[in-house]
Amino acid sequence: MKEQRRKRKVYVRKKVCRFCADASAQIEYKDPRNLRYFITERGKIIPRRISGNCAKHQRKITLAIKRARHLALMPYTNFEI
Amino acid sequence: MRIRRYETVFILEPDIEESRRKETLERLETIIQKGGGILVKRDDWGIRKLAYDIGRFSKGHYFLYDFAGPSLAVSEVERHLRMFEVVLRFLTVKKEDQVSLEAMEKVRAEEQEKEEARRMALQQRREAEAPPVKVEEAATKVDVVDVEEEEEEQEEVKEEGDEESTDAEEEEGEDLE
Repeated sequence: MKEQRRKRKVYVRKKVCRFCADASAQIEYKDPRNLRYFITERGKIIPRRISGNCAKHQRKITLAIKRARHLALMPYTNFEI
Repeated sequence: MRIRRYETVFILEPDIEESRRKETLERLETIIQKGGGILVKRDDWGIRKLAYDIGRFSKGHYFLYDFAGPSLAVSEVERHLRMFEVVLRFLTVKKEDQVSLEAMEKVRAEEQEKEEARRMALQQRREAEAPPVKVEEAATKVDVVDVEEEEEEQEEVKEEGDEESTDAEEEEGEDLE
């Protein structure tokens, strides 16, 4: 047990929410270029545990992506990979 | 009545005639006014490619209206957007929860000034690139604008003179120093 835990610790890197780190970065549904970072190639929203965002900013990103999708600024799905 | 600031983005069909597009936009503006609101800013994003096809369209003409008004104005605007056949999509977002019409009037004036300045700058850049005959015409218009830009105009006139002489390149080099 002890060894396992230690091993795992080696791989865990601390992620910092990029929006908390940089207060000037804004989350805007009108700017799909910045939101593109938070979706997969298929167009799915990347979960928080992978993107490393904090809960507050992940909520905002999710909302922004959904708005951008409605306005056809971003895809709902993307089949051409 | 509570006044809020909203932002509406809508997409028009890309291939409609200019007159029809204008008519649609004008009607929307009157609707905002009738609903007791004011239009703060109108933004034309131009024709963009859609991320996915909507109906038979793969492109759309995007517009953004930034306006302030009571909730009634929003419901009216949305009702009409639904009715217009040339509107592919629309989305209204609340920007500020409580504003006063007077303050918004000011913001609108500022935005208009900015817009005016941008247009002037663009026009000047265009005139600077245009053939020299036009530069002289522009010189009379410039009066209101910054001194710096006037200087630029003058420099250009100088350069023209230089071009007439045989050692044009050399003299231009001296100007730069």
